[in-house]
Amino acid sequence: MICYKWCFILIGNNKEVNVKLYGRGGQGVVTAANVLVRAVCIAGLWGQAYPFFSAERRGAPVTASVRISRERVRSRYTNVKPDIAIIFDHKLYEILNISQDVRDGGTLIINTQFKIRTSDRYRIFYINANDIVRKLGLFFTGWSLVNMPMLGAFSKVTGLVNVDDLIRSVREYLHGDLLELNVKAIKIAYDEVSEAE
Amino acid sequence: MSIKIQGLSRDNYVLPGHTACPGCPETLGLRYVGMALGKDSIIVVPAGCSTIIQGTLPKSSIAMRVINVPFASSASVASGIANVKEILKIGGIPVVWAGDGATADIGFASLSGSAERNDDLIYICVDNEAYMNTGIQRSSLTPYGAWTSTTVTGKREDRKEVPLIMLLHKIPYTATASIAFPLDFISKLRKAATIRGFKYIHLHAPCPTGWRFDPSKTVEVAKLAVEVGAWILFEAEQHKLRLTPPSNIYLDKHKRKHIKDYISVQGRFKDLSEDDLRRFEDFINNTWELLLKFT
Amino acid sequence: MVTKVLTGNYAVAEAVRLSNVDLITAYPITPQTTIVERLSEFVDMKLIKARLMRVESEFAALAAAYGAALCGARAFTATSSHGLLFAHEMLWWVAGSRVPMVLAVVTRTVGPPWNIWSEHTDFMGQRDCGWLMALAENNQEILDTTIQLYRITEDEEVYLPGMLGFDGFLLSHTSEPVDIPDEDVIKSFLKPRSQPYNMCSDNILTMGNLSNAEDVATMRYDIHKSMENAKEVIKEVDREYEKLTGRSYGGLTECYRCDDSKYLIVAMGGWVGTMKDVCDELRSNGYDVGVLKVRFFRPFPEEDLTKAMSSVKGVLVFDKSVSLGSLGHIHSEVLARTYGLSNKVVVRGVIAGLAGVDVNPNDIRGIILKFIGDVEEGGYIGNTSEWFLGR
Repeated sequence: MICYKWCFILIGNNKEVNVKLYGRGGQGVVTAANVLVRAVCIAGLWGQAYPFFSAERRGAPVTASVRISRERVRSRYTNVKPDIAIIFDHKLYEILNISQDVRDGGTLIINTQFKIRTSDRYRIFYINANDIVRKLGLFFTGWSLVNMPMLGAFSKVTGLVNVDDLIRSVREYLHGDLLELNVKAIKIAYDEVSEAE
Repeated sequence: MSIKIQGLSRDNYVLPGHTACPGCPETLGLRYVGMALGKDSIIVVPAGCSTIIQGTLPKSSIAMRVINVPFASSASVASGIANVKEILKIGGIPVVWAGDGATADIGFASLSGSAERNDDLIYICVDNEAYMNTGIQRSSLTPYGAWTSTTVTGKREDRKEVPLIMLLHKIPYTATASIAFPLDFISKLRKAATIRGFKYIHLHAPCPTGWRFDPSKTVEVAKLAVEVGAWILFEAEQHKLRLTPPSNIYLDKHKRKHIKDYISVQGRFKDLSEDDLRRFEDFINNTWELLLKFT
Repeated sequence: MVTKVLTGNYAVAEAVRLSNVDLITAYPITPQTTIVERLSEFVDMKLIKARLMRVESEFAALAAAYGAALCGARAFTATSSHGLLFAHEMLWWVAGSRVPMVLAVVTRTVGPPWNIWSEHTDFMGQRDCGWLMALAENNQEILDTTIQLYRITEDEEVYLPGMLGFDGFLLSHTSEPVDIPDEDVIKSFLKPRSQPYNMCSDNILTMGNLSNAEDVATMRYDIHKSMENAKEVIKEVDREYEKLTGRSYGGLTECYRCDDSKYLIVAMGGWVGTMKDVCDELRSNGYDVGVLKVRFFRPFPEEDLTKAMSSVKGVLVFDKSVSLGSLGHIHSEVLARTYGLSNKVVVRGVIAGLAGVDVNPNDIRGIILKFIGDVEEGGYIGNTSEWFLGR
């Protein structure tokens, strides 16, 4: 496992790490946030996931945030600059003005087949999750289910949650073929995610 | 189901000391409900004349279980009871006893919801054709031309056909009844009690106070409504409509009494013009035609 | 006991599952909807014995639950905002009938314009109906208080319905770990359903017919007395629940570092957690700040509040609701209890977080420090009121 700064940060002074997931209605953003919270709980940390809803429309941008902490999280507010952004659709980088959202020095994990222009204020990681789910046939009513592989990439990049805990968590949310395909997708994404040059 | 008067219970379900107006059709109707269902009924009463008729707490003139509820809520409250009847082993039948306003206007959503869910209860609309309890205001069941305190020159709209609307909810049993024909009403109630699901009975109940007639003539006026064809008695099981005896013969238009016989005894129609009268007649004929399409 | 990651709404559903409920009535409204969705799943999967009615309105939801409760059913329903307002008439009827039942209110702004985010005005608007009213701070408290409310409402000293409010989205759709007690534990905690009378028993009763003025006035007074009785019952139930689960919420209020404080923050609901964090930070910087969390708004915790105010210089009240043309709801309750205190207390009410306006620790810290500064500089400055609009 590559371990960048985030797996150490909770041991330091930072009380919590803020993760934000950016996707579209139908891509499973909220489920991914919940799976992530469960995974960090399995790992002995505290997690809190809070989605931001507007109109519940397929395809509309949806975000969900996750607080990860060593201690119980009591605070509840939504205007938080995330440390780590998981971006399910690279077009959202501009549509949601993500460069104004993420904290300087933060990390971006982007689902893309292109190397997109971002900012040198961030560490950028790419994963072609669309390709992974297409090969596995992971679709639901026409939407490609990239949420779990994106978490696989997150696990590798941050080290905040190890992939076994992540898969244990996924097993509580999914069942049958869907579960097995997602576990495969998580492992592939874990192996394939790479840092931008 | 043939019922003979000798076979009916002699118990009193509406006790002396009630606070209804003289000639009140609702006390008659409630008495028939008691005769038909006895102590089995759990009566749900929304705001209306029957709220007053019970008299003042801690006493009541109704010797049946009575739950008074807000105006628009009666069908829903009865539905709630119906839904826990089995798990709580409740003995009795929820029976809504609601006026035309509570049924056709403010409580209509509640009624339609209960019927659509086919909740196991009997819903009786006791129809005196206006908001009598608040002092005779028009309802959607007030007939065309009738004076009320909010239609002082006569109502300009026709009444809607709530029994047919209920029939089209495809509930297992829909019927009309009249306080002038107690045996017909009682037999319909008893039949309803044997059927599982939502049962709707629309009871015609002429009100001497609101219709402006002699309080000794309540039953007579109710009877006239049937005889002129203005009120049609039927029942519908499994969505198949069938006229019931007092109304059978009036299928033949010529056997009906003249509409004037019914209109002229009611002060609320005293300003009706000849044109209005013809319109009234047309309305009756159209209603028969519409109804017969469901037979 | 198991720990699950649950949203606030799913925490309610779990509590209802554990509470041996007979009837659930369901009607959707954002952000409440996922409560009744989850419950209908429980019913369809036969995980609970309750019947579920999918009704045609919130008014019908409360009316049907009421009918069943009159006949001995333990009943549950849930709503938000406009749904709650639509059911308002039934709220009075249920409380006046002295029928125990539990309602979850996922707080949401009342329109227009349409807005789905949390404020407390919908909930606070029901404060005169005769219902017990609790507002939860986190998802664990949602689960625990729902269960406790069945016990409290069915206590013969109380016999009133109870509603549990919690912030839409901020809690209802926020996932966090929640301990779920064992079924056996809750079974022993909740006694069999108890209510003052049963309309479907063999007794011929009439409920709610006409009454003379003095009788009605007396009945209202009886409800008020039962509210007073409920205070002790709420505390007892909290203590007993703690013995079984290890969790206590302090009864009507929670005093967080407020025993020796000079400045007292008073608030209800999900943002109290943020205030506790700010309080810790200010304490470590030498400010004597404490937080009094109002857990039950009805009955109002007059004694707890008076005690907490008796040694402070200033009280800062955060309201997420307002009586337009007057003050925030908690603010006016607090002011009414400053009369007769032997110490002179400065009170400030801050109306904030309306319509879901985000209130973060910086905002709260700024408001607190400004208040402390104003009092330290100006001395006894009486009562002030402010609005925080987020811009």
